[in-house]
Amino acid sequence: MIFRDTKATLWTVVAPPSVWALHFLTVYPTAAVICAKSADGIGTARLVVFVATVTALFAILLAGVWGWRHSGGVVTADDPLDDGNRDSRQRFLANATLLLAGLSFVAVLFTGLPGLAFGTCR
Amino acid sequence: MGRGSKRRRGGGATVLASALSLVACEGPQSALDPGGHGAAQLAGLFWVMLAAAGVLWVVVVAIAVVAVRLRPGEHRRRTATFLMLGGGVVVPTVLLAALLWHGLGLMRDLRQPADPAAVAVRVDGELWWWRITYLFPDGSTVESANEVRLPVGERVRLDLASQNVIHSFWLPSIGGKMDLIPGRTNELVLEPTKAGDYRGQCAEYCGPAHALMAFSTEVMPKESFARWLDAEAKPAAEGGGAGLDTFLAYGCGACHSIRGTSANGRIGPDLTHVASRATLGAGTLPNAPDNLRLWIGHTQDLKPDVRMPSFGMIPDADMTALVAYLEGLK
Repeated sequence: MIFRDTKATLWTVVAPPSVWALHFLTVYPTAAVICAKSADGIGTARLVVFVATVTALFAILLAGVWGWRHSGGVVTADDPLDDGNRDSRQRFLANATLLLAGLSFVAVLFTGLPGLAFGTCR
Repeated sequence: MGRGSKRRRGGGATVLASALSLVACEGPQSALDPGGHGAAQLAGLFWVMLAAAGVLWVVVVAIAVVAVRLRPGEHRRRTATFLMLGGGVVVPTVLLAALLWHGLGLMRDLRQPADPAAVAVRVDGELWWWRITYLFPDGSTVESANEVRLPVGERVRLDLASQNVIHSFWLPSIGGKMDLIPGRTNELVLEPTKAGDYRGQCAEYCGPAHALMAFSTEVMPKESFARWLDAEAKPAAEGGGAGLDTFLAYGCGACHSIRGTSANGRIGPDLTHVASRATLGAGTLPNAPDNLRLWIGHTQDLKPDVRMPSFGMIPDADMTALVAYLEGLK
């Protein structure tokens, strides 16, 4: 289980931005292609944007929770994150995951918002 | 004289500078002096953002003054963390989200369709002037150049196209700007709300004479607009005489059209009613007989690299007849 796994890897750090990138690369071309083909396609486009956004937010949330659990509480400037031991490395990677998850969450939300706001392709 | 009075004079200068900068907000080409629905929306957004930016600036500077001047030394860790997380993460995220939502709402309003019964306008970006074609609902067209006339209170569709490079149509007093991109037709809808004269400008660098690619706009009451368009659709005035002979003899008709004559060139602007336009050379000079003479004789000096060569070789007598003829094309 990812939540129990304490092995620090770079994969958890790059997961939230990767989800953000995947989400963007899904909704942007999909909306553009659907609206270019037919102005009536907005319903399909909105559905794709909605599903992609909810899925991406959920995935980022999971990564964020993982980061939070393995950070061992709020990390401050005084925490020795560069000690070169396993524990320190672990906390650094977990904290980086948490912060990137926060950024990616907001980014995905902002990317998906137009899908909620627009009722036409105009 | 003490320091106080110096400071007061400095204050006076600031007030004067602010007043002068506000005066600069007016005029025929100002996004802050709206004469259209879109421009009013955008100006409103600008003022809201300016006010919010002002408040944020005061708050940030106040915190900096407290931290550095009033209470130097160590601050409570909790307070510092709260300010950094709140001011650095939470507040910007919430403000940007609110602004994004407001902006999306504006966009939805600005992209409302045009009145289907209204006349539409096709705008072609040329090097470096504007080909303007009025499109009637019945499919007929009237061509003009470097001048867009619009009826007040109607949502008019503008089809923006280009056969050469990317241009951008910007009429800041009436609405937002939009690019003219080769290979596609972009649709911009403008809704003028105030009759008057405005100025537009190409807003995407398109070559040497880009800065001289402007156009004039007259927003007219609906009835006047309909009357004007009827007159614009008619061929040129009869009786060209020596002026028309000169026009044709020097080959002007190879590039310019004057409807009702044998001049039917498509390379340069249609001159059927050139005398009724406000400017010459796409906003380069005010339209007046002396300026027209200057323009024909020194085209390349006035607007470098434009396709029309300078016709300085035309003898004075011919030039006088030519200018008199063209200035009669109301």
